[in-house]
Amino acid sequence: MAWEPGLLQLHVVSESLIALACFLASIALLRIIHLRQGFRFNSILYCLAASGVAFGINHEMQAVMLAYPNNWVNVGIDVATAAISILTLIVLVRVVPDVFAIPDRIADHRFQELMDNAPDAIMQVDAMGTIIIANQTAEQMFGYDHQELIGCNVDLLVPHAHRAAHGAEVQNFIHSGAFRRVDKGTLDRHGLRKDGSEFSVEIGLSPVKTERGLLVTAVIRDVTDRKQLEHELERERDLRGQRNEVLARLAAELAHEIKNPLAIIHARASDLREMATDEALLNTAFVAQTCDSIVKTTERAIRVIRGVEALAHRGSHDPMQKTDVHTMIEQSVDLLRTRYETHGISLEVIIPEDLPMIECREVQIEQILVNLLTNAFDAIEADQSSMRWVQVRAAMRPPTDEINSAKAVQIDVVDGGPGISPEVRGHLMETFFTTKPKGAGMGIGLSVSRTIAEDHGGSLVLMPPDWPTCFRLTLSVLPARTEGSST
Amino acid sequence: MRIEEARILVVDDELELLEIFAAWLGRSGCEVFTAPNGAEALKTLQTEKIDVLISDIRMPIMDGVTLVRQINEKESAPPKILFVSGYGNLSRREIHGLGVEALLDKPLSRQALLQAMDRCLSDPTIKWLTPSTEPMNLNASLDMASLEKALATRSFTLGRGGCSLNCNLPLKEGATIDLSLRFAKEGLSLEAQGTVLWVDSDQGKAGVAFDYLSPECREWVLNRIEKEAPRCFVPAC
Repeated sequence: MAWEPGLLQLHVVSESLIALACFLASIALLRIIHLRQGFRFNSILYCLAASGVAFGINHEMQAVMLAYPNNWVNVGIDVATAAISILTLIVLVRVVPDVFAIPDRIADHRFQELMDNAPDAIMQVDAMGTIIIANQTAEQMFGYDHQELIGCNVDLLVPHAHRAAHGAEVQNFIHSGAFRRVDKGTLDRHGLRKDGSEFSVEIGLSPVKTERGLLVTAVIRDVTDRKQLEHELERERDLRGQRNEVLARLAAELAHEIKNPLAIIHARASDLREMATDEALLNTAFVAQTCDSIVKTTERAIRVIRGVEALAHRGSHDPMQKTDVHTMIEQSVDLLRTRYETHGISLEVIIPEDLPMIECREVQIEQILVNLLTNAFDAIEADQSSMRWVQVRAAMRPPTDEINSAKAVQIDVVDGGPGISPEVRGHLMETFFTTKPKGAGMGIGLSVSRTIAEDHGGSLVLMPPDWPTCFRLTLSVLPARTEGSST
Repeated sequence: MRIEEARILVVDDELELLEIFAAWLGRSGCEVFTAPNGAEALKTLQTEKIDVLISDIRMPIMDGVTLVRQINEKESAPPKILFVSGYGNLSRREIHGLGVEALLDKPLSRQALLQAMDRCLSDPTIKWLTPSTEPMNLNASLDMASLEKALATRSFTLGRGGCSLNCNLPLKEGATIDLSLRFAKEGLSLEAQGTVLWVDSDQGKAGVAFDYLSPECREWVLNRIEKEAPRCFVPAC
């Protein structure tokens, strides 16, 4: 077949262009190899580049052959191209599984998002404890950047005091738990933030076997809020239990206090009944006297009941409010000042300037103070030998008190009365115990005052020594919720 | 002893009740002393021979329980003691263990007081003579290997007025009971009518006051009580 001149030119140009494209493609491949050093699939790139060169020469030869036909050269180039093609095919087949293993960037991105948006911190550590993966929640929870966290030992996130135990636990988990796959369940632990603060965490561990060896996935939840809530609930339960106990005691003792008047009324009435059996025995003076006693005793029983009713209601439903100790004491003292002055008893109030506000039901605390001041007044009045003074002293509880380290205010009511004997001390806080003459006091004040103080998480105690008499009311300052330092 | 021969000390901080009780007992012909609290009562006991002490439990200065403890410590021939109280939550087991004969609840009638007085004044040799004709609420029949062993292990103990015993029967406080105990080794038996004073179902124990003892067992039981002279009315354990 003869070449038309136009067709020949077209053939030469197209073959040359194909060859050029093949050479350029090869150069592009070599450039990729050069720029992406360490790329896992360089072998196939080299093969493809070589194929490109081979195909390029092959096509170029098609054009050259027309001018200088040489079958040996032509076939030789064909053989070389075929060899390179076969080699490329082999390499390609071998590389395919690895290519499939290349992560899907989109799926990977979605997974990362899922991890980062998880409400719990998720981390993966290797057997040495090195952090390999950490989600954003983990970064935020512990206060570190991504770069700071990855590659660090997980000990970084464990408070110093717990590190040894934690290390042992991890080793134990890796060496036993993981292999037996008894890996579920959560652990109550502590976390350490970058700023040094500690917080309560709950950790779930599960082992993962990978080509990098055994890894441990840890899902960590910050349970500070929950612990706080649990703590508050527990305290609430305790208080309610205490209140029920006091209520039960109060009920039993109220029954006792009502039964005495009832016994009198009962006895008086049965005496009258006995007298009524025989007209000769009837004594109008005795009847009148007995009836008077019944009326008087009934009124006494009613006073007891009214007193308890009043105590049950007064202020007990008010919300706890921040209260200024100084104002509260002054208000209580003002209620009794005139009474003290007219009886020539001095009443001194000593309060430092810098006392903090306390959280309490003001009306109830004032009730305690008025009660203590009334008792002090009565004690002084009842005994000729009394020193005629009363002091109210407020102060912060000394920090040396290790039993209860929360900040608290102490209010002492001290009187120069005759003092309280050891026998009486033992019974003093019991409901209805009174040293006052029958009818003058019901013996409710101190036990109810103590109940109120305990209801506030505080206390009311009679301090040693026997003289001067000092009642100490301790009330904790607002239970401070410090930032994340709960354990 | 008859009630009109008795010397009685009444202790109560409720002065009006003290006055009423004194009047009631005075009308029955007894000689009555009064004290407003335990401490005053102890003073009276030092100077006067008292047959029966009737005391409130809750009192200022010295309460009734402390008073009885002091009497048990100090007095060689203590009076019979009755508690009169409106305070409901004191354990009868403890009270009778201390030697108190009866716990009377306020309010109470003159008749109830005199009855209780009568019971504690009557001689043990005659007070358990008459069986009740009323049917008993409960019935307990127990076999024990040996009296000495039962006494030693305290699975059966005698007080002045009754016994406490290991017993897993469902007993009820205040119920009347037909008690039938047999001690194999000694060949002794105890047939009695009584009143359940307290029950401790956790420990499987109960305290029973005797109301009647059968003629067959009366002698050995009375001898035993006389020999051991327990201070308790019904043992607490």
